[in-house]
This record gives sequence, C-alpha cells and structure tokens, in this order.
Amino acid sequence: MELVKDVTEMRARVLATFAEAFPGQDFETREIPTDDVVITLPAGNVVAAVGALSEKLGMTHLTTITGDDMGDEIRLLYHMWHGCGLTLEVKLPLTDPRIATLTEQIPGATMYEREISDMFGVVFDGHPDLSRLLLPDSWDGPPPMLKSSDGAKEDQV
Amino acid sequence: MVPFRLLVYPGFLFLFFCAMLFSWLDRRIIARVQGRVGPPWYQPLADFIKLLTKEDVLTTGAHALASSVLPMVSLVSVLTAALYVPVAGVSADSFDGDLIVVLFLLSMPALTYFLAGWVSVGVYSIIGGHRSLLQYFSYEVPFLIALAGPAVLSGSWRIADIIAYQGHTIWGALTQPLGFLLAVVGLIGKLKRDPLDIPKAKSEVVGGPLTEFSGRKLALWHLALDMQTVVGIFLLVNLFLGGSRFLTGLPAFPVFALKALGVLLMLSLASALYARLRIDQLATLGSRWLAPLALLQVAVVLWMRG
Amino acid sequence: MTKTTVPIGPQHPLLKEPMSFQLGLEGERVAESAMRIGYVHRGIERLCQERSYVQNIYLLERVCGICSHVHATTYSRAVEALMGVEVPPRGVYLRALMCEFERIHSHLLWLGVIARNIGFDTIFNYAWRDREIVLDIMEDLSGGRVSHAANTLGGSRFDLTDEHRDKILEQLQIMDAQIQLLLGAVEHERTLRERTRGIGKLTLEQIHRYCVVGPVARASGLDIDLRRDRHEAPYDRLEFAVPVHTDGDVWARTLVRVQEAVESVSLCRQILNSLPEGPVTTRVPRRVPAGEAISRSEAPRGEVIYYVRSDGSDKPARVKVRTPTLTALVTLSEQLADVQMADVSVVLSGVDLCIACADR
Repeated sequence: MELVKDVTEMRARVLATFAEAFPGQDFETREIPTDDVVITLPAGNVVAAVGALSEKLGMTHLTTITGDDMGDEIRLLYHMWHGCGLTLEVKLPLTDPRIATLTEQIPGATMYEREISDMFGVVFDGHPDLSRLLLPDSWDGPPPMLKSSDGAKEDQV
Repeated sequence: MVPFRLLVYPGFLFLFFCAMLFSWLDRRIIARVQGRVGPPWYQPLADFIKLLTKEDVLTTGAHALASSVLPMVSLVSVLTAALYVPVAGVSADSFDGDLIVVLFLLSMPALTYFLAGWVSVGVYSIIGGHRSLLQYFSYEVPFLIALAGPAVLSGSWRIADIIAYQGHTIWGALTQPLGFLLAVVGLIGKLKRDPLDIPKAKSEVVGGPLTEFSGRKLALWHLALDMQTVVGIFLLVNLFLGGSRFLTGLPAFPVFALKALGVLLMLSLASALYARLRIDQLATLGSRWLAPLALLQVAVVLWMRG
Repeated sequence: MTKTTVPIGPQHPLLKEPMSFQLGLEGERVAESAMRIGYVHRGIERLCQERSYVQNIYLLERVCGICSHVHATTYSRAVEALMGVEVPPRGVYLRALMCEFERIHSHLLWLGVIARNIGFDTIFNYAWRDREIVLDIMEDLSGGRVSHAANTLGGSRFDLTDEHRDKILEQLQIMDAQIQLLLGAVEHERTLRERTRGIGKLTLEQIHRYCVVGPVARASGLDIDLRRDRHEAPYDRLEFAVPVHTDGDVWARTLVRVQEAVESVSLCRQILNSLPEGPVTTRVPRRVPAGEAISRSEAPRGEVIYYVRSDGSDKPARVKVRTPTLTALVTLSEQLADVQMADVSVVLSGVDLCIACADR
C-alpha cells in the first residue's frame, strides 16, 4: 500500500484524478490542520468521486462521515485517510436533505450514514437499512443534532 | 449399625461434610493457581444455607412438579450410589455386581440435568440441556469402558473385590495408567467441571439447564453435584488407587483421604490450566481418542489376564 | 430444523457491553443475527457544543472508560491546531507516555475478557492482576486510575520527578516479566489456540471493504498504525515494531494485542529514558479563532478521529468523534454467520468492542 507523503501531494493527485473524472469542473479546496485537504464537491458527485479515488489512487479507507448543521445548510464531510487526510465536503439543503448512499462502494459507510440519518435526518438514497442506530426506537422528536432541535425532553432521557 | 452407616458414616452426613470440604478445597486450589486468595472454609456451607433461604421463583410455563422432583431425583441417585462405594473399606451395603449399579446411578444426574433444561422453558436452559446430552455421549462411553478395566482384571464386578484384588497385586492406576487418565477425564465430563463445563458455560448459555432454578431447588442441584464429585472421586480411588491400602500398617482412613485429595487436586489443576472445549471439539475428542483408547486399555487388560 | 431465537444483551454474562443481539439459531449454529446499539448514547457530541473548550476535555474523557486519555489528547491536539499552539516536547512525551500505559491497560483487560469467555480463568486472573501494575502507575501519575484528567490545552497536567521516573521503571521491569509470561502462555497453550483459531475470520479484502482499523485490521494483514504512519512526535524518535499477522482470526488478534502490549512496555521505557527537559505546558490564547481542524491518533482499538469546528466563540460549533469500535461493528454480522453458539462470545470479544465509545 503506497501512502501519500503530504498534503500538497495529496491535493495535486486528487485534483488530477478529479480533473479526469469530472472534466471541465473546478473544485474549491482548502487545507486544514493537522494534515487534511478539504475539497468541496456538488452533492451528486460524491459516489463517482469516491469511485475514482479508489480506482486511481487506491484510497478505500473512509474514516467517517461528519454531519454539521451550519444554520442555513447541512454539511457532510467524508473523511478519508491515505498517508494524510482527505476530506470531501458536500452541502445539502436543510429541508429534505438527500444524497446517494456510499454503501455500494464502501460497505463500511453503513454505520456512519445511519448515524447521520439519526442525528440530522439526512436521507441516503439506496441505503439498505436506514433504521435507528443510536436513538431509541421510540424517539419521535426532530433529529437531535440539528440546531433547530432543542434536544431531548425530560421523559426521553 | 445400618442406620449409622446410612445416615452418618459413610452415609449422608459424612458425604455432606465431604461435599462442602471438597468444594472449598477445589475453589481454594484453583484460586491459588490463579494468584488469588480464595474463599474462607465456611463459604460453601454459607452459600448452601443462603440459597435455602432464597425465594423460589418458577418461570411461566415451567413444569412445577417436575422442577421440584428432578433435583431430588438427582440427589437421591447420588446418595444411593454412595451406599455401595466404600470409604476406607467401609460401605453401607455391598453385593456382587454393585459396580454396575453405581455406574447406572451415577448416570442418573446427567439425565435429570437434561430434563431440568427441558422442563424449565428457557432458551439457555434448552440449549444447555441439549449440550449436556451431547456431552453425555462423549464422555460416558470412554468412562464406562475405562471403569470396566479394573473389573475385568480382577474378575469381579463387586467394588470390594476389586479393592481386595489390588491389595494383593498393585494399584489399578499402575496396571492401567491410560484407563485411569481416561476415567479422570470422564469424571470431569460427568461433573461438568472446567474445562468440560460446556452445558453450563456462563459466557455461552448463562447457567445452562439450571438458569431458571433458584432457592432451595438450586441448592439441591448444587449439593447433588458436589456430592457427585465426592462419590466419583471415591470411586476412582477404590478402583484405581487401591482404596485405603498403602503399605501394610498405615491406618486406613488417612490413606484413603490422601488419595481422594490427590484426585481432587488433579481435577482442580485441570480446571485451572485449560480453556473450555467447544461441544463439537469434545465430541471429536470423545469419539476419536477417548473411546478408542479406552477400548485399547481393555484389550490390554484382557491380554494381561491371558 | 426449527429456529430458536436467543437474545444476547443488553444485559448478559456473555457480553459486558450494553448492546443487544438477536441470534437465530439452528441447533448450535448461528443462522442469522441482528444487532442493536445505542443503549448508552449520551449525546456527547451535542453536549460538546454547549460547553467551553476546556470543559470538553474532561467531558470527552468520558467517551470511553478504557482509552479515556487518548480521546482527551486527540481532542486537545485538534484545538491546539486551531489555536496555532505548539505543545512543549516534554508535554508531548508525557501525553504519549500515558497513551502507551493506556494501551497496555486496554490490551491486558481485553486478554482477560477473552480468556474468561473461553473458560480460561487462570489467564483472566493473571492478565487482570498485571493490569493493576499499570493502573497503579497511572494513578500515581495523574491521580486517576481510569479517568486521568491528565490533559489540558497546551500540554500535560502532570509532571515527573526523577525519583518518580525510577520507580516507574522498576514497576515496568515487573510488568515486562509478567507480559512475557502471558505472551508465552498465549503462544503455547493449546486449548486457547483451539478455541480461537479460525474463529471470526476477516480477510484483508473485507478489512478494506469495511474500513476496519486497529488490531483487528493488523491481525488480517493490513499494516497500518497511525503512530508510525503519521510520523508524529514523539513516535518518530522512538523505536517500535508494529505486529502484523495475516490469519485474520481471533487467534491472530490475540497475538497482535499481546505483542503490542509488549511493544508498549518498551515504548514507555524509551519515553521515560529520553524525556526532554523543560516545561510541560505552554500558555494558550483565550479565544479559539474560527476554523476547523481534524486530529487523528492510534487508540488501543485503532484510529480515533476528532473533527472540531470553531466559530470564534468560547464553545466549539461542532465536535465530531469517530471511535474505532464503530468500524468493527459492521463486520460482526459477517463474522457471526455460521459460527457455533459457543463461539459467539469468542467472536464478540475478539473484536474488542467498546459500546460506550460507539454510542458516545
């Protein structure tokens, strides 16, 4: 397994791969500590991007998916690692957030997607089983990690 | 004399005392091997009394009559077997062929144990019950064949005769070392002790057939098992270690006690030093190694008798 | 054949973790399994958004009851990266020291659990007795046996005197001998091998597919260890081997973990012997500037990742934790397929689950 040396190399190689996979598109990138490149993608491109990364660069390790309620949109961050970190950033609308599932490319994403569906109400189209992961089956409030949720009530704790 | 022999020595009271003592020694030895201190001497007795005072819970759907009768049957068959097993040469009764009766009676607890799982209606109980039957077939055959060795060699199925025969020749364990080892392994299986505690393995089937038992019934089960340990050890001492005989002139009882403790030590060390086998591993071991080896031992014995 | 459904957990002697399994058994064989977690979900990620950066260190220690220090360290590193603060070398070394002690602690605890589950109480007692040595050292260092509160933003909260260091080195001497004894027992004991070999097998391909990390991945031949692969201080200046086995079964995982514990003892020695002089903490700014940071470390069970986003206020806007157990959970249904009921406990304990970590 050949690991990428540093962030600069990671950015260059990933952008080259993407230029091939999505011709004509520009991607916004930024570096964040401690050693991660964040690349922003349109929501529809994640599955293809992960496919290209695993095919061209042998990157199959999805560390996790972070959901983040920014107030006006939901951000999903797909954290990968291959010598140094690579994060794919996707922005989803607050109302009816949907995105295609990654479970076909990376079965290991199952739990991460279920968790985000629990906590942010994001629907992953094509996911085999989006049942509750962390929340109790009886939970009927809004997804608790959304800023608009005021958390659990007394009798739900 | 007979009531005394039935109730006090070598009958119920003595066996009860031995059961408590052996259970404590066993726990103590294992604890020592494992770098622990172990319980105080009165712990088994305290456990027993405490269980007697506990509430007796019956699961819904369990057969009330059967679940009270089974532990008693188990205990009674062990006690009856004990009548014919001499302690330091003294037994409550003896007749020609008593070894066969003892072996039969000692198999009864295994049956009641299986039924206990069956009548108490719980997944763990039923799985444990199945396992105990499977285990029964794995250890019982080699165990019986191994115990037949001394009987065949001495030409009698009376325990007293077998002891006497060893008295004027040598210990059965010396003429049939393999048979002795197989008998010990069989006894471990019979008593469902580590490493053959498959039917009641806590991390697999909780408490096995006894999962749903509590209070007095559980106390009786434990007592029956502890007494079975004692009777089993005494039986092996009689059949393989020459009973109470060791160099003429030495008092019978201490010699017998020492030998019994020696066998107990073997059982305890086996508990401490091995991991539990899986039921299929035991079945393979039983049919591939234990039973053929036991047959081999009997063949050697037949050859020795000429 | 009729199917029996056996419930395992959330309270069960097999599994000391609050998770639940419904096993469909055909005879003794597991035909199907369904898993449910979430019994100890405490909403830690949400709580983090309502507490200050410093309070969060001690909150995040509560994510896990075994590898508490590595969580606090990883989080602190992320926040320090946001602030642009460099921890003095002595602080870095002391943090790593605690992490290594924790690794020994975690692996020995695990060895005890698996030994207990296969009915090998002697190894269980030995492993847990020896674990006490490490717990004692950690208590000496930080005042806590499990939750150490040994971190602060900008460095470590404890320091070592020379006498203290010599005492720990002495204790490590005993520890070393004991671990070698355990390693010998694990390598040579036949019944233990019989019970664990071929159980819960995961191929390298499955490891890649499910993104499994830590000792489970290393037991299947994936040579990955963030301590080495990220070249981070102080591990870039220390010598250690990363044990990798290729069998992929519980037996290989046992070897990997015990050998790792041996390596960790050596790492602790090296750290103590090459401890740099100087302060253990540095001053940190009052405010955390807006921005985001990701920090990763190798916890006893594998890669831990923290994502921290700051909006410039005194509380983080988002803290995300991913614990290694979550990756192993996905593989369980495959590992459990077709095993014997007796091996369920071996499979479940073989991956070293920490449900409190997974639930957060």
